[in-house]
Amino acid sequence: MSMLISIDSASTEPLFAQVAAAIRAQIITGEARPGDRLPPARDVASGLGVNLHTVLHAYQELRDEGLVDLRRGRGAVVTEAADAMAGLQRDITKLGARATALGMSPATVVALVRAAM
Amino acid sequence: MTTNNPQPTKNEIATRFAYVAVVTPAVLTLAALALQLRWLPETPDPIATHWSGSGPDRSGSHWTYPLITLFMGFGLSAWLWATALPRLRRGARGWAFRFLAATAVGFSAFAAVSMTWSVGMQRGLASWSDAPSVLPAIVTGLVVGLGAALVGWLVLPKQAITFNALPSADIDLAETERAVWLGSARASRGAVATIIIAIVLVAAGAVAAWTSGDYAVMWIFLGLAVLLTALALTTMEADVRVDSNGVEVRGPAGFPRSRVPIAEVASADSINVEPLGSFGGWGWRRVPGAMGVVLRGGEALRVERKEGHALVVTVDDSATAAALLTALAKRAQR
Repeated sequence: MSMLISIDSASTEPLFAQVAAAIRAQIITGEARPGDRLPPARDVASGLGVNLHTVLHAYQELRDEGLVDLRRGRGAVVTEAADAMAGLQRDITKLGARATALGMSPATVVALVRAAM
Repeated sequence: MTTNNPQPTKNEIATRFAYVAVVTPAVLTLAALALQLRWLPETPDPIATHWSGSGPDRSGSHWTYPLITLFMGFGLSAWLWATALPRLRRGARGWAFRFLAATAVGFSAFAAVSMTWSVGMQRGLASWSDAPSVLPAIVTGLVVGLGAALVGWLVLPKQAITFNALPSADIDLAETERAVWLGSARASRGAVATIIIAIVLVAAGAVAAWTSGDYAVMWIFLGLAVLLTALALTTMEADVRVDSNGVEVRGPAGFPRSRVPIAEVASADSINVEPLGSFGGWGWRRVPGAMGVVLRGGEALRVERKEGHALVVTVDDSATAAALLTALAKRAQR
């Protein structure tokens, strides 16, 4: 299990949200699988040069979304929900390919998806 | 495939290795076995198998000698024939091949000489307790064994470690971007299982020795169990971190530890590692030109220092780690 996390200090998005987004992206693309342990928050914080609480905040955000379990002693573990998310990502990729083949504009597809929800 | 453009030295090294590590030990072992089997009917059965300072103090079946000769003389060779030779044929190179081949031929020469001598000197004896001192057999065996190992070492060419480069990745970092790559290197399940089984067996040996009141043996087993556990702790897992400070590899307890500061990074890339050939085995290993954290075979991150010494860690996703380190090192120089 390995993880690349990058943040941009020039961005207006809060740092914790950037950290969460980087990890979320790896869960949704299937690079991080259910049962994988996220790296210790301390290591992420010192590697990025940010406060430990920033990283813990990001992990809590991912827990609130149901993507990771936070357990004392075991750290942050990717949940089974991640598999369903990764499956959705595959469906979205297929949908995008089909819509492109049919010559639909992205805006139309987004509107259709929004209407379906 | 490289069959269209064969390198003549490639197969020559494998052939020489086969002669030193397999053929010569086989010939020595067979000759020794032939002599021993011819002499066996003339020796006492049981035969003297162990000596203390003054004379023989233990005996065993006279078949002990041919059996020990076979295992000692051809055991390592058989293993090298099965594992190292195919790798050499495929083009793997490393100083360890030379060392292992020299060890194999030295070992078989020692076994052939000292075992055959031990059998020969007991011909015509009425009882094993009449056996003369074994010292001349051991000393001659050691001298011949060391000589054979030296010759084997000289016959084989000096081999620089070569690594096959793997596909690389590319990462662009904005001036304001901060990034960290965290990975962990793990030993294969088979290796972990082997180490755990070894620890359990040794611990069981310690308990058995304790119940039978053999405390000296118990302490030896206990020491071995502690040593194996320490070995397991350092070779089962290592954490790798790449960030703006450089790269750091840490054992599970924060020790052992090895790092390359970003200012000392000359280059980073992804390579293929052959544990046996390149590093002589698994674990934290220092070889000429490199420090290796080798927990399995396969892809690895290689970091070349400016003063030339490399750090190699067998970790998944090494191309990403190498790309990030390259980007960070480039930015640190600006």
